[in-house]
Amino acid sequence: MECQECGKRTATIHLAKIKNGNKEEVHLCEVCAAQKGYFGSQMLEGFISSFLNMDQPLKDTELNSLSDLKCNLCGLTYNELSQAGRLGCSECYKTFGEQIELMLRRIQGSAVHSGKIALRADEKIKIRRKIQTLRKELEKKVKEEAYEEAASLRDEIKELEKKLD
Amino acid sequence: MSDHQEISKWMEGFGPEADIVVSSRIRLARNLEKYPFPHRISAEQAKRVVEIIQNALKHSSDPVLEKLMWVSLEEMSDLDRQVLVERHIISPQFINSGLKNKVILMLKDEKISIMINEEDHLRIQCLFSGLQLENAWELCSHVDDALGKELDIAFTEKYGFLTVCPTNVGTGMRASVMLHLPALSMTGQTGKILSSLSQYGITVRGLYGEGTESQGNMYQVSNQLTLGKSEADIIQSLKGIAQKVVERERAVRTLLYSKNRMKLIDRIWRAYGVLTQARIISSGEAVKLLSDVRLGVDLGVIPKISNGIFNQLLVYIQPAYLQRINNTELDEEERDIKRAELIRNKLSNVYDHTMTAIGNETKDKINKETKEG
Repeated sequence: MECQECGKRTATIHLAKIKNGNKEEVHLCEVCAAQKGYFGSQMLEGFISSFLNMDQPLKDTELNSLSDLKCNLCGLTYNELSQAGRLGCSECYKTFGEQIELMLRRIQGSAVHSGKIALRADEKIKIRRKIQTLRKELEKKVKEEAYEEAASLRDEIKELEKKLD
Repeated sequence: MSDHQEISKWMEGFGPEADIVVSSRIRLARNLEKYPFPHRISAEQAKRVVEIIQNALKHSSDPVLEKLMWVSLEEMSDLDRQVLVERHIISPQFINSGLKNKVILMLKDEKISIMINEEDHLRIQCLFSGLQLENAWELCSHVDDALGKELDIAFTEKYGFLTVCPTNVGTGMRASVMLHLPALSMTGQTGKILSSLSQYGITVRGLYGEGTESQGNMYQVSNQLTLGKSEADIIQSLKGIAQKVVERERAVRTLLYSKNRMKLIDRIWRAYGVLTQARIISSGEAVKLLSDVRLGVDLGVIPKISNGIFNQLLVYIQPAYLQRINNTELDEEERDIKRAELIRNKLSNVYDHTMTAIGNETKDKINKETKEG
């Protein structure tokens, strides 16, 4: 089921509101639910634990909320991030991807870097781009049934991929 | 820091607009991949970060990196740390944070300094005198590349350089200029002008960076945003704004000088009088009066004292530095006495030199102007 707010992400939060005796169902993704203020972390935790009556960590990804997000490398939690507004390590940028995107748009008015590229990253970015071009060429060669050329392209891609690791 | 030379490069007072633009600074925030940032790092990991950077320096054959001196903050006395803050080589936050494994790398002339394990793993700074943002950027970027060749720096194509604080993400660059704005201050315009800069993504801080107050009409003007614009664009816009502020300052100076000539000249000579005669002086009073005298020199009221002397005095009259050159701990009153002595020496030397160096014709002119007011 799609999120009824953004229409893009999968709805993982399903709420039933009783308003004036009428039942109204709301289906949202985590991000939109958080934005609409449907749950502070405690509310959801309280809700879930009272509902399921269990203290064990939730495995069901559908019930995972933002507040359960924790960085694997430095252990920073979503709550710590939103309170202090500081990241704990470079991995946090992946872990809290969507929150950081919003944060950066708010603070910086933009979320796309257009300055200098780190020297080593520059090499990697170039290699990734090269691989992309080669892959397209490979597809073309396969369609053309030019298998010999395709094979050499495949080898070239493999070599480049090794450099990325 | 026993081999610490007296004058760092930025204090020399050369470069474009050096009468008003005291210094230009570029600071880059960089972090290593795979290690928690300093505020979440274990002592062991922090040590490892230091080792990785140390190895990178050993491995590098870059001529600039080779010249950097390596100083562990823990090995320095409190006084020497404070001296480096007063010289604008390191930040007050750097010495105050409870972290260990903090290291400073710097060039002898202090044009480059790098803090390891400050807020970010690496803070690279280049400091020049006058309005020289491009030169500072060029050098800073060179150091950044030389280190980047050896280190896995945290970077993504989308967000650029990754930093502790989202306000530094992207270029990781803070470009700033230190401006001496006495005329705008006297006419009560600084607040209005400087706060209007925020709409251009420019912010104003005090003498020692974030959270510090302006002293002696010195204002640090820097870019607020770090994401979405290139370094060159940020520098160009800051430079343009700095030039506008400088123009305005000059215009108001001319106006003040023509409309309140006698009052202004009186104020300048009084300041000069106190600075060259006082036996006890606080740093607050000294900084204020030095601002007046500096203005007097710029306006030609007082014979030439180089920008360099003023820049040096801004640092030398600070508490830690005074104790450092006297090689002893000094209480507040003793410092005020030593400060007065130092200023008297510096200014009277300059004045004597100036007076003997210039020809009689000019000397007569100066005397005449002085008499006329």
